[in-house]
Amino acid sequence: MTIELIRSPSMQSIWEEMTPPLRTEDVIKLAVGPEKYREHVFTDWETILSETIVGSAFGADRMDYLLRDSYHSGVAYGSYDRYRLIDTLRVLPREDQGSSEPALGLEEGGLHSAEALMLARYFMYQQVYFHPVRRIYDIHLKEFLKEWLRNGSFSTNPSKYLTMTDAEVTAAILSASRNFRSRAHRSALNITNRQHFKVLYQRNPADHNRNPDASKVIYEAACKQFGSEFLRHDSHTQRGESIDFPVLMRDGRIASSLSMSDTLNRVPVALVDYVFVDRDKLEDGREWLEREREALVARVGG
Amino acid sequence: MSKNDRCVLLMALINELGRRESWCGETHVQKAAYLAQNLQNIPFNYDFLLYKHGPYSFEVTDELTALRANNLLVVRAQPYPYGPTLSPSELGRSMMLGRAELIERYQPQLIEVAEICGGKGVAELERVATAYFVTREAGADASIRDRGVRVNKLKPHISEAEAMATMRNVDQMIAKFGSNEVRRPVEDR
Repeated sequence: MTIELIRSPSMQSIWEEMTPPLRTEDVIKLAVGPEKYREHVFTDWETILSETIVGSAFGADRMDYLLRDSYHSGVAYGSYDRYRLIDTLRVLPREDQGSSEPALGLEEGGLHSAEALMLARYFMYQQVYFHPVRRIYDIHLKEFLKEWLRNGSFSTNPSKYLTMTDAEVTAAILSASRNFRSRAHRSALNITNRQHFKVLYQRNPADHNRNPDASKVIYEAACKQFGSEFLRHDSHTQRGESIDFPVLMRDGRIASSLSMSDTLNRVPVALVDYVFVDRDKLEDGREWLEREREALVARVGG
Repeated sequence: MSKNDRCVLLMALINELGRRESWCGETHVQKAAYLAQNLQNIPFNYDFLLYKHGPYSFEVTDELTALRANNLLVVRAQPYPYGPTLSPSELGRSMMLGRAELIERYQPQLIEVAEICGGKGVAELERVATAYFVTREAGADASIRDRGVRVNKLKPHISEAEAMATMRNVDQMIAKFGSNEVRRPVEDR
């Protein structure tokens, strides 16, 4: 959709009116990066340029949303020294890997700022993005949208897509919550009346080390016990990101960030693995799980 | 192939690379997975594009991250100036043991790829994997010179001469493994 919007006539005229005019394909490359724009092979320099915008380590988008989300959600975890970090960004050959391919890296003096960024990202994931209440509202909202939208999805026509805003969706949620005949009534009520499902089971190291599929087994057994309409399973891992980047040392040599920083080597990967249950079934669910947990965790692992 | 099977085979590939004293950083795993999928027909079904150090899959990166998050892979720091080495954890090894039959089925292909990649550094793997990528893109009829020029255009730090020398090795690899019907497991024929 982003590519379609950038190519749309209304955006096209904006690119062309600039001096010098921007090439649409260049804007697309920078805006979506190589993962999503498969029609063109990126040169080394285009790769680096797109990494500064949408890259997983030092992309401006990611650096910005951490600060923004941290500020607006009122948590302090997302802060780091962005000025120092940006000042020390460098394009470096990957001599640490025996290659001369250029890559986005840092001067040694910026390494602590990079550590702070990676830790900030981890804490934001664990404390905000992967918070169980935020995750379950995502699930309720997706269910509402599937039930409410025509054919269960947003229009892929750019001009129609742009007519839909948060305001339309918010009004529709309220309207469906008041209309018990609406197909989306139940999921709308979950949101407006704060009747979200609650955590029945959350992944923990003890169970996981005995059976990596413990939460899936528990979810499936709970569905059989109470009915799948009362259960939701949410399993998601923070997307892969490159914390291995070249670092220009003070003596001019180049090393891998991971050989220079114990902290970067130890930044954990955030993940969620929850089984949610309708709050009407929560008490029964907890009693059932207490009785069955041992047998369920042993089921696949054993 | 299910996600779980794919993860088990990826861990098995990492294990085989480690047994051949490969440095086995993420770049090694990326290139080995690319060759395993395309040269040895292991049905990972990862989506590869030409990116960092040649063929690269964002899905492989995500999968490695998920394996780390689930304590199935461990990352061992290496001394200056090298990046870390990946290897299956105790839990990962016990998961592999539970799927020994699956690994057994693909073992010959995994070994072939580990033999090709095991002793190579990042720069050499980049040349081989990029040359193979370009050959697949250009088709069998394209000359070594044309393909070498293409590699140099895509990756200017690889000279035409280096690219053409690598291309000869790649053609030998394709001649050896290009039609490996006998090695393919029954379910994929």
